[in-house]
Amino acid sequence: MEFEGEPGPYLAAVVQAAPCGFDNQATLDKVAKWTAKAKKVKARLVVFPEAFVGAYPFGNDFGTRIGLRTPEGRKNYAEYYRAAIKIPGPEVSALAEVAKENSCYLVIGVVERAGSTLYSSTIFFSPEGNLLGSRRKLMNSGVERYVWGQGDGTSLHVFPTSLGLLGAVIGGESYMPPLRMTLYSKGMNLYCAPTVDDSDVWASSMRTVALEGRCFVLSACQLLRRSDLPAGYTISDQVPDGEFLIRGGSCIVDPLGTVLAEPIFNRECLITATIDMTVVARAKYDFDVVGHYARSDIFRLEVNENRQIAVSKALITMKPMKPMKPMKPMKPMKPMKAAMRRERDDSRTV
Amino acid sequence: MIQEPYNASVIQTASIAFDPWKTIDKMGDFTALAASQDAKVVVFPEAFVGGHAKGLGFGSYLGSCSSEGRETFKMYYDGAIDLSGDAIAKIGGIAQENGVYLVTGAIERELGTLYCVVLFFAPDGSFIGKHRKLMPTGTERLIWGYGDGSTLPVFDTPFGRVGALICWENYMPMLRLSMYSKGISLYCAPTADHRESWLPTMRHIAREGRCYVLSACQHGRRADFPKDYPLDQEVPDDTMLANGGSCIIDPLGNVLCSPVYGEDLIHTAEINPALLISAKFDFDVVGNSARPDIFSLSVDERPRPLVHSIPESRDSGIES
Repeated sequence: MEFEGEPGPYLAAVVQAAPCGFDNQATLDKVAKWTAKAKKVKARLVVFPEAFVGAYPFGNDFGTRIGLRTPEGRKNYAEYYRAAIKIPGPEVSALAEVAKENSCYLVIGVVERAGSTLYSSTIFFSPEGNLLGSRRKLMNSGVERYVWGQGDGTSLHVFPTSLGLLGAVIGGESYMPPLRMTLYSKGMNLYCAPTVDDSDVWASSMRTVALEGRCFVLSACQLLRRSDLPAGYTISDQVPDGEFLIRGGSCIVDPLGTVLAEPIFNRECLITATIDMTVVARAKYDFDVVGHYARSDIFRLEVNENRQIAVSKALITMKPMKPMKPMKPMKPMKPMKAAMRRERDDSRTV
Repeated sequence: MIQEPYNASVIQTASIAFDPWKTIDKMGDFTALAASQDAKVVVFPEAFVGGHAKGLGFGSYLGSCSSEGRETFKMYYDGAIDLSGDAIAKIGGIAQENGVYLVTGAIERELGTLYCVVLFFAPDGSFIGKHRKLMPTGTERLIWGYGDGSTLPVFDTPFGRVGALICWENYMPMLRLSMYSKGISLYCAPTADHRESWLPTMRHIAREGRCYVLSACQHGRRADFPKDYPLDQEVPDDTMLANGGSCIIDPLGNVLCSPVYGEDLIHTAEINPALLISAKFDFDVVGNSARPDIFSLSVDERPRPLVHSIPESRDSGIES
């Protein structure tokens, strides 16, 4: 889908904050509070970090070793499971209300529960309070693989909005070239990157992604302090001492790789930037990763966006087959009509 | 493949514009310096032999080009090298003399077209292969042709798997993915991009591919170019036309050699092969972190000659 016309410059905001453990009501209140702050500065797009509603149980190893799971680890997982949300569900409705109240597009990382498996998902709301859709993370890193499942190719959405073509790449997915390529090919120019990656290299990656996709990148990273953890929360003693578990580092970058909002570490904050969509076309002048710079004669990416279902019902009842009649000999083919021939020849030159 | 750490170098200096032979002499001097720092692999910048015609517009504007532009192209063409000629033997000699793998950018000429290439030489002096840049940028599109899919090599050497992508090819995700799928571990990035945003890109690639990245960019001033170098506007001799910014990054994205601008230099860093595997523990872009059930990339690596000539039949038609 092509984005028609460009909106005037507008403000976008990224929230760098800590969720309130497994207390979803408290986290939702916090989402409302920070989104209202963003509204005060007239932000029309607000991006929250990965796994914000439902939490990111940083430092937990869920008692798991090769060939070994513990009752304590199962208990931790069950707690996490209970805090995860359904899409749609009451928490999603509450988030939609926040978007509506503050008349903004809202992009937020949540822990989704589907069946009995959890997913790191990002959900999108319009300023009217509509759920635009959600996408599940395709690839989890490290211990995330204990607690989250992997999404399939069905949710590689890019949403056309009045602000631009909006999409999200979650956490370490930003290191998956074919995923980025797929979303670029859908014209994404507002690349949201909810994450918990607070490394030094992260901002480098966000700048590279912006330059590669010639898109705005809005990365929201959690901030997490020991004091944000619920009482009785298990944390591995391998975690280094110190108050900050995830130190933030959210940033906003323009399509030429210019950092519009520098990473800030070790505090909750709202970072904002003016988004001028006319920069996109100016940036595509000398580089368009899915157009004049693509070399599609050499590289061809196929993407399976089909739903992957564990069990599918067979809809056709099989009847025992009748024995086949012997085939009649075929009639010789009539010569093609002249008009049809022409059509074929034309198609060959395309 | 050796398991002990060893040194690799990137060279930051200017080529001698339009004079491949003097440039190759200079390459000899710098390679000897790198070898004196125990380098086993040495990487030179993009278009080092033949030059990167920085700042030139080749008298072109939409709809026309001037005869001066044609003359400039002729001058540039004359400074490029034939891969069947003496230049290859000379560079091979440098690699052999210093006992290094040598990776260098060059301008290759074939018939009437120039190509921006990377050439690879082994320590025994042999020319082991080339990569032609697939996609030139901006004005480069006026003077360089486009490579096909047949030169995307990654060479298995005792020091790791060596390959190279040139300048903004490094922003082509599918090209990078094909390099990663060949197990590239010494990812060379000869470039002419001296922007401050280059370092973040090199760090991203190192972390994405979990490979060492060795990026070499020229540092050159007006004085390094001939007196009659046809810039739109003349500038003082010490004006930098290429700023440098070469760097070396480890497979976790840590910067081993930071960019330095405005001077000639050799960056030498220790490459630790053990880190290549430990870095893949939590991320392998073509293995444990890929989703081949969703994404499948086809790469057409067939050579694409324009004309297939069918050899004249040896069969005389006369039955013997």
